[in-house]
Amino acid sequence: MTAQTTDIHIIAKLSAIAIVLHTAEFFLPSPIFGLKPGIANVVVLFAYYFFNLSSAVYVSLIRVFISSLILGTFLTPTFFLSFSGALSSLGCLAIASYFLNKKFFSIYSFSMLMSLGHVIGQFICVRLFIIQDNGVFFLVPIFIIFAFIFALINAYIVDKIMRVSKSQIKNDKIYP
Amino acid sequence: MFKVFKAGDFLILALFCIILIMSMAIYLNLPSGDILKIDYQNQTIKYSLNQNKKIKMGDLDIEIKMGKARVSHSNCKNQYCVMQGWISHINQSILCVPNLFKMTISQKIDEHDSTNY
Repeated sequence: MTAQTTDIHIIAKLSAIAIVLHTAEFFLPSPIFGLKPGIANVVVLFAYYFFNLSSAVYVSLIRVFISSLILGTFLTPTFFLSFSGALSSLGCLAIASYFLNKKFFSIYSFSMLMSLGHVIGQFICVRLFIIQDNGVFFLVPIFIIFAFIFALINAYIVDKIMRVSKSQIKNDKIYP
Repeated sequence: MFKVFKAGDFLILALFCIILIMSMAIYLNLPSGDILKIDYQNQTIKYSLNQNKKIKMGDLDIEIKMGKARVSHSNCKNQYCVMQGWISHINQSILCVPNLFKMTISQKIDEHDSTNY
């Protein structure tokens, strides 16, 4: 990729925000193992909506690797869960960005598809490598319900941020 | 929130609901199994679930009652195996870690459970 300096700056800043959010989220208590709001995906969605798909991919993958190094979970099952979820949600985002027209589909549908892809990818990873038992799929409806709720919340946050920062981004006040 | 929804979003919402309902249907209509597999002290024992039976295994009491099974008494500290209650669906299981005990419900396999009687 022949990235320009401004692109690298944007990716670095957005990934820094995403890493902070992911690290903060790691310490939140959750009733079921792995049930987290996924607030770092706000930044990925923001990167996709304001810049392009490749910057969203960069932000998401950098976030997964660096935050796992910070939290000390690199190459542990937690990292692989996070990595598979990120990969599958990015795959969903890529497919959605290829097929869905932005005139008819807003940020909410992209967010919902990403969270759905995240859940499906994580469950495939868990079933194949970590818990090799069909009993894992008992948890699917619970995770889908929470993915739906958190997807709507995240998309709402991105929507609010977009409305605030649209004029500032055009005037190059936030990003170089 | 629904004011900023565009036309396609309802399509995705409907897709989401369909997937949710399908997974819920799979969740609720699980086939009930008919074999209780017990792993205890390095051996696997199978019991039919279509009977009323009380089994004593070391410090554990297991109760089978027409299609469902439970651990009715245990000597362990936390009593998680007793609090699990009845299990009747395929792949449901009860563990008791202090006693190294596991019981799972599975479907009928072609081999006959001769250990039952």
